[in-house]
Amino acid sequence: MRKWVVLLGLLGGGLTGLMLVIFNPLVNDSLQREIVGGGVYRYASSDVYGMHSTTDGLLNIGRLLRGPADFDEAAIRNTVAAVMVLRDSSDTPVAFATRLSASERNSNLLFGEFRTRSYWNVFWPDQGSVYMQSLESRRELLHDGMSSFFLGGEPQAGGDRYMLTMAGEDAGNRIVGISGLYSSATGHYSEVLLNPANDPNIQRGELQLSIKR
Amino acid sequence: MIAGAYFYPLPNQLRVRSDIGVIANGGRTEDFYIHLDRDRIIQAQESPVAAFSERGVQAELFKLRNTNRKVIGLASRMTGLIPAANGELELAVNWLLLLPSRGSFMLSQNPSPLSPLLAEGANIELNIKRGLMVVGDREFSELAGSYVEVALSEDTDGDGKAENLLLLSTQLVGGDPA
Repeated sequence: MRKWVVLLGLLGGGLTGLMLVIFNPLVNDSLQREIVGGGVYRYASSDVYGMHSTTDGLLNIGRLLRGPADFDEAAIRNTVAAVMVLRDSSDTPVAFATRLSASERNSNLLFGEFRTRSYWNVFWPDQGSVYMQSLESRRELLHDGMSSFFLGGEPQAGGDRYMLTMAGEDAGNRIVGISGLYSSATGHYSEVLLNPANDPNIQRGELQLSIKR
Repeated sequence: MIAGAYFYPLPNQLRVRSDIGVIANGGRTEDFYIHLDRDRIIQAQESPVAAFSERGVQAELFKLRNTNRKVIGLASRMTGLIPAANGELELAVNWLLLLPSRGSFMLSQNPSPLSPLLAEGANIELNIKRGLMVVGDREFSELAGSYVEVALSEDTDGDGKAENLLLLSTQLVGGDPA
């Protein structure tokens, strides 16, 4: 009996601690502002492979609840690889891209850090290509997913738009020109995740580029 | 509670030993391998990128291995036409490599072929292509250099059957500290 009381106390304490950390109003990631103008592209891709990007995946229990992710090898277990077509405001495909992401080393629950680092290669056919990189915060996604779960719903963030890209020098946000008309391009970008609860098999987002050629 | 939150095992990255060789006159070499069948995550024809296929576009995702053939990262290979200096279109190839515990870097290929010099003991089937490392971050942020892409055919399992491989052999040198 005593053992059970201790065990339940520990579990309850841990859960309370987790909630305090996740809903701690003093912890706040600085996010990039939305970029408006010509360089805004949308994607909707089912070609996304790797770590579960759901609330349980971010908390490292996705494997327990949903089974193994796409990558079994220890070195890439916490990575995501994706291919996507980028469409302009008239829904015309104008570019294609690959994105490789990895959860940030040494993210810490106590400090409310749920971060990934993403690297993009964007290619405009017959024009050229760029490399992009930035640090991303998934804290808002996790916060909303946990809120939904505690209110009796699915552990899935239900908002329409989630800015992922972090601001500040440490985020390392940059665009570097690689080839063709974009070979000397520079700039920065923002990525917004759209309706993540809509269909877990399709990842929708908006890529906003501020780019000088 | 605070200790529990601090030590909670969020997704982290396993640090894999780097197989880096030192070049006598400065710099370092590192080879990466891709088993073309086993390591392909997606090929362009299966993806929506096929919408661009008439314009020389391809996008592929692979797992990436070190010289011990252990998976250590991910790679994407994209090809497409870009305008050359003379106004004509030429094929460009971009490799984006991600080694989760070490960083990422990008290789861009000059399409001119090179004579087959590398990969002794392996059957070089096709061509060797070379290019430059154009940008990197973290461990690779201060490095610059070149690479060659070699198509190989090897009996990797010892079962008498040859398997097609790609070798990405990099030679990188650190920049002068500012």
